[in-house]
Amino acid sequence: MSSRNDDLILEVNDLSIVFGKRKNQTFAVQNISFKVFKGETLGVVGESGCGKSTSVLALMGLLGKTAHVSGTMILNGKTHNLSEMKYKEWRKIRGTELAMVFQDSLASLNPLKRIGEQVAEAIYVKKTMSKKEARQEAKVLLDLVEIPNVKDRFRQYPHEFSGGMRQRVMIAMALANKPNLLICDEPTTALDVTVQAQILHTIKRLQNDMDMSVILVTHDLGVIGAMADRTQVMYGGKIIESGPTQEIIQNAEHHYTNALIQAMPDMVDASDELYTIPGSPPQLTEIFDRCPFGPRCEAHTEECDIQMPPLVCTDSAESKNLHVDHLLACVHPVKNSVEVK
Amino acid sequence: MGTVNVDKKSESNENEILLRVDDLHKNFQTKSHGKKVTTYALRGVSFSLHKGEAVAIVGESGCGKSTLARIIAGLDEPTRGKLTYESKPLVYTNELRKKVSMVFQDPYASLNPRMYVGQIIKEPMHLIKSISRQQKADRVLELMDYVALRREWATRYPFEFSGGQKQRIGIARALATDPDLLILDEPVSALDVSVQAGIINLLKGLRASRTLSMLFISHDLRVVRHLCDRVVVMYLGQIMEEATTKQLFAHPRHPYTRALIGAIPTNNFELVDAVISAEEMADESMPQMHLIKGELPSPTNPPEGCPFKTRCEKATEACNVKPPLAKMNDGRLISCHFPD
Repeated sequence: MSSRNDDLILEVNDLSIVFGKRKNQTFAVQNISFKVFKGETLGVVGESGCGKSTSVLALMGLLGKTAHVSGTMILNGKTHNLSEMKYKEWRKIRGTELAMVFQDSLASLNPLKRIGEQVAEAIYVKKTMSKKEARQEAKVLLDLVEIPNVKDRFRQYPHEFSGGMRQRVMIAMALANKPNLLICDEPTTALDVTVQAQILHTIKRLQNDMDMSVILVTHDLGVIGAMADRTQVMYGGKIIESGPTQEIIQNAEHHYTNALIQAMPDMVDASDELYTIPGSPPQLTEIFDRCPFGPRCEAHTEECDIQMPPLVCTDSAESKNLHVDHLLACVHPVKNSVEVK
Repeated sequence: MGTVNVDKKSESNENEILLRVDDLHKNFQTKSHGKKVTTYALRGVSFSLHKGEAVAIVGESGCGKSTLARIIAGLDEPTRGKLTYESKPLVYTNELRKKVSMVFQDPYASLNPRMYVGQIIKEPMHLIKSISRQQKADRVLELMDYVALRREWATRYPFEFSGGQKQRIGIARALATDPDLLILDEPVSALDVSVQAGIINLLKGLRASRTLSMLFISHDLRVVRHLCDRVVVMYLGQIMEEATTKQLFAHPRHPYTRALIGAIPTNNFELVDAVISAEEMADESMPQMHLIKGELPSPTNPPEGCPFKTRCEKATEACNVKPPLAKMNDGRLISCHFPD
C-alpha cells in the first residue's frame, strides 16, 4: 500500500453530513473515509437515500447552509477542513482540482445563454486567458467531447441539444480547467442505453487521455461493472463494503451487496426469482451504533447490534484469496457468495 | 370469493389471437415558429398478441412505444390503422373496459392524491354490475393481500406510500376488474433495484397464476428478459425485429437490436458476448460495450427508407428503400436488408 500512497489524489477522512436542527436531524452521511488514487475510477453505488450523492456534493462544497459538514479531505497533498472552508477557498479548487458532472443537464445549464458562451465562461472565470482565447478553447473542448458540427452548435441554446449532447457539454465544462479529479453524479441515468454507452466511452477515453481520476456515483451496478476499477457500496449513510469492482460483484461479502446483485435482473437467470430485500431502508434519524442493514438482513444476530462493525479487511479474506483492499463492515460475511455470471 | 387467485391457466388456448394491430399510424400536429410540424410517432406498426402471452415493446425514447400503448388502451386515437380485439374491431365499451387495463409509469402521478387507497383500487369496479357492495369491498382487501399491501392501509392516502408500494397500488387497481389484457407502460423504470425486483417478482407470479396477457412497454431489456415471451423492437415508429425473448438475447439479428443489447452495461458476459466483437474486447481499459454512432433522428423528419440507416454500420445504398418486415427461417420477423 505504501507505494500507492504516492499516487493518492484524494483522501477523505471522517466525513459526516447532518441536515436539520436538534430533534429533527437527518444524518445523511455518517463518518465515512475513502481514498482515490491517480488515474483510477472509483464507483460509488447504493440505492436512493443512501448518501452517495450527498457525500460527493460535500466534496465540491455545494451543499448549502442547511447541511452541517464535518471531516477533512486531503486533495493533491493539501489538507482542507470541510467544516471551515470559505467560499474563496472553494472557488480555488473547483474546476482546477476537482470538477463535477451532474445528472440533470437541462437544469444545470443556463437556458438563456448560448452553449459556446457557457463553456467559454467556465474557462474564462479562472482568468488564465482572455475572453477571445477562452472562446477558441471552448471550441476545442466541445470537439474533444465529440460534439459534431461545433461551429453551428456553438451558437445554439441548451434546448436545441439532445440529452446526450447536453451531457457532453457538461463534461466539456467540467474539463475546462483540466481537473485531476472528475466527479460524475449519475451522469447517464436519464439517457437511453445506446447514448449511455457513448457517454461512458467518452468519459473513459478522456480519463485515459488526461490521466484523470474519476468518482462515478450511480445506482446501476451494470455501469459500475463496466467502468469502475474500485467500488464502494453505501447503505444508510455508511460505506459497508469496498474493494476491486470485479471482486465486489463476484465475491460480495456483505449481505446487502449480495442482495443488491441478486436483485439485478441481468445478473440472474431469467427463469429464477429475483431476490427482494424485506423491509425498507432505514430512516437516517440517528447515528447508527449497530449495523444499519441488521433489521433486513437474513444473517442478523445479536452480535450485529452491539456496535457498528468497522470497515476492515476480513479474517476470512486470506482463505478466500481476496484482495487486501477488499474491506467489509459486517460481523458475518457471506459464506459462499452465490455464483454470479 | 376466490375470484382473485383462480387458476385459469389450464384452459387457455395459446394460439388464439387476443389482440391484433394492423398497419397503425399516428401523427401529432404541433406548431413551431408559426409553422405546422408533424411528428410521425407510429409509421405502420403491425403485430399480434396471443392469449396468455406476454409481449414486450422495447426501444429508446421517441420510438413510439408509449404512443402504441396509449392507443391500444384507448387513451389516444390512431391516425390510421386497424385494431382488432378477439376478432372484433377494438371499441371501448364498458364491457371491454373491464377486460383491458393499464399500469402507468409514474406511480406518483397516476394515483389520485385525494382518494384513499381502498377507494382507488375499488374505483374500476363500478363497471362490474353483478357483484354487491360488500363483495367489492372484500375484493379490494384480497387484491391488497395479493400485491402484498397490508389490509389496514386501505384507509391511507397515496402520499403515505413509497414508490414501490404506489406501483403495487397501481397494479391492484389494474387487476380490480379481473382483466384479460394488462398493458404496463414502464412499470419499474422509476424504482430502485431492490424495489424493482419485488415488482418484477409480483408480475412474474401474476403470469404464473392467472391467464393474463401482458403488453409490457420498456426501454430496459434486462427486465424484459425476465417477464416476456416475445419481444418487439421498435425504432422511429417502426418495427425492426420481432422474436422470442430467447432468440433475441442469444442471437440478435437486426443491427439495431445488436446495438441495443450490446449497449447494456452489465457483468453478464453471456449477454455481452452475443454482440461484442473481438476487436472491441481488445482494449480492456475501455468499457466492454458495443457502440453505435450518432443519435436518434427527429421523428418530425424521419429518414427515407430504413429508419436506422443513419446510424447503421452495415448501411448501403440499398437501405434507401424501406426493407419489409420479413419472416426469417427461424420464425422471427426482421426489417433489414442485411440481417446477421
